[in-house]
Amino acid sequence: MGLYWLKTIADILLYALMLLAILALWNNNAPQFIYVAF
Amino acid sequence: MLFLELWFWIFVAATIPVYWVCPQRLKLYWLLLASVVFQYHFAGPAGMAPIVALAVFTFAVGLAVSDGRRGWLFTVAWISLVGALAFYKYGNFLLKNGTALLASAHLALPPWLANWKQPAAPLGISFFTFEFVHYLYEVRVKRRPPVRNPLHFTLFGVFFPCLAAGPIKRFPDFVPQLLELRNPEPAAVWPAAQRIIRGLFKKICIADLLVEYIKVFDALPEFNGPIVILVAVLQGFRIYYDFAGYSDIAIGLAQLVNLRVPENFNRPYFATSLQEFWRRWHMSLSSWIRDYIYIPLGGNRAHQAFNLLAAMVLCGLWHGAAWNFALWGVYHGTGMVLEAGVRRLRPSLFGTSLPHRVLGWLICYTYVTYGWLIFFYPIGTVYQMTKGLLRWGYIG
Repeated sequence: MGLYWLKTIADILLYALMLLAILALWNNNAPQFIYVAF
Repeated sequence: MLFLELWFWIFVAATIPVYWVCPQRLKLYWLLLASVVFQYHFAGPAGMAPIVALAVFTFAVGLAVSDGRRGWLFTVAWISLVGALAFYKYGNFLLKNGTALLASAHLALPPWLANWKQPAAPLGISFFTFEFVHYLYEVRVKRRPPVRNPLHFTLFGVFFPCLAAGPIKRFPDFVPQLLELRNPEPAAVWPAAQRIIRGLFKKICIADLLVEYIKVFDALPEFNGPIVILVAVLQGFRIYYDFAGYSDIAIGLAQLVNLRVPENFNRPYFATSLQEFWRRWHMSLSSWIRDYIYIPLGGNRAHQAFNLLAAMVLCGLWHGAAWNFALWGVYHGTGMVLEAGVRRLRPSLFGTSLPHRVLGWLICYTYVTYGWLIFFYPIGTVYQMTKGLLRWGYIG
C-alpha cells in the first residue's frame, strides 16, 4: 500500500514537472508538427 | 498549429466535459459537431468541401459495391480518391516536372495549364483519402459489411483527434465503437491525460529544442564527419519525438472519449532489421502500405523485389511532392530488397543471439539514420554531407 502511494505521488510529481516544462517552453511560433504538413 | 494553439485547448476543455455529461444518444452528435467545428476552424469552408464531397461519395460507393457487383464503380471511386490526393498534393510537382520534360523535347504546355495554380491542400488529405481507400477495398474486395449509418461513416472520416495527421484508422476497429459510445472509466482518464502530457513534452521540450540545435549545424558553410553524423542523429530523434508526440496527443484525446485508435510507434530505433523497423515506425501507415499496396502487388509470393521497391517509393512520395522523398523511398526499398535477399541466402545472420541482434541493430540504425538526411535535405545538400562524412579534420 505504501509503495502504491509512493508511486502515485512520484507519478503526479513527474507529470507536474513535465507540465511546468511544457508551459515554460510554450512557444506560439513553434514549428508545425512535421506530419501535419504531409 | 493545431494541437499547439491555445484555441485548441480551450476547444478540448469545452468539448470533453460536455461529452462526458451528454446523454448517450447525443454523444455521437456531439463528437460530430466538435469535429466539424475543429475542421472549420483549421481548414475553413473551402478546406471542408473536399472531405465532405469525398466522404459522401465513398459512403455511397461503399453501399453500391458491397454486393460484389459494379466493379467499374469501385475503380472509378478508387481513381477519384487517388486523383484528389494527386490533384491537391502533386499538382505543382507534376506540372513543374512535366513542363521541364516537354521543354527538353521542345514542346510546351498550353498557357492555361502552364499558369495553373494548385489550390491549398485540404487539412489531412493524405490521411483521410487513405482511410477511404481502405474502406472501399475492405468492402469491395474483402467483402466486409459496409457502414450503413452515414453519421458513423462521417465520424470515421472527420474524428477530430485523428483528422490532421492520423493515426490512420481502420473502420472495422473504429466504427463498432460508435454503436455504443460511453464515457471512459474514471481510472482511464488519468492515463489518457498522462499520454497527452507526454505527447506535448515530446514535441515542445524535445523535438522543438532539437530543431534549434539542428538550425545551428545547418547554418555551417561546410560539414565534416562528426557534424554530419550528429545532424543525422538529431534529425532522427527530432522526427521521432515530433510525430510520436503528435500521435500521443491524438491517441490520448481519443481515450478521453473512450475511443481506441491505432498506435503509431513501438520503439522503432530498437529495431534490429529494416523489416522490423517498418513494423515499428508509423505503424498505421506502414500497415496500410503493406495491406493495400505491397500485398495486392503480389507481396512475397511473386517478384518481391519489385513489390518492395514500388511500395517504398510510393511510401516516400506520400510524404511529399519532392524528389528527395522519392529517393528516400528508393533508399528504403533498396535496403529492404537487399535485406530480404540476405535473409533468404543466410537466414542464420538474422539469429536471435545477442551478437546477431547488436550487429543487426547497428546496421539498421545506421541505415535508417543516414536515410533521414535524404528525407530532410535537398539532394545536392545530401551529396555535400555525404562527401563531408569522409572528412574528419577541423573545418574553419
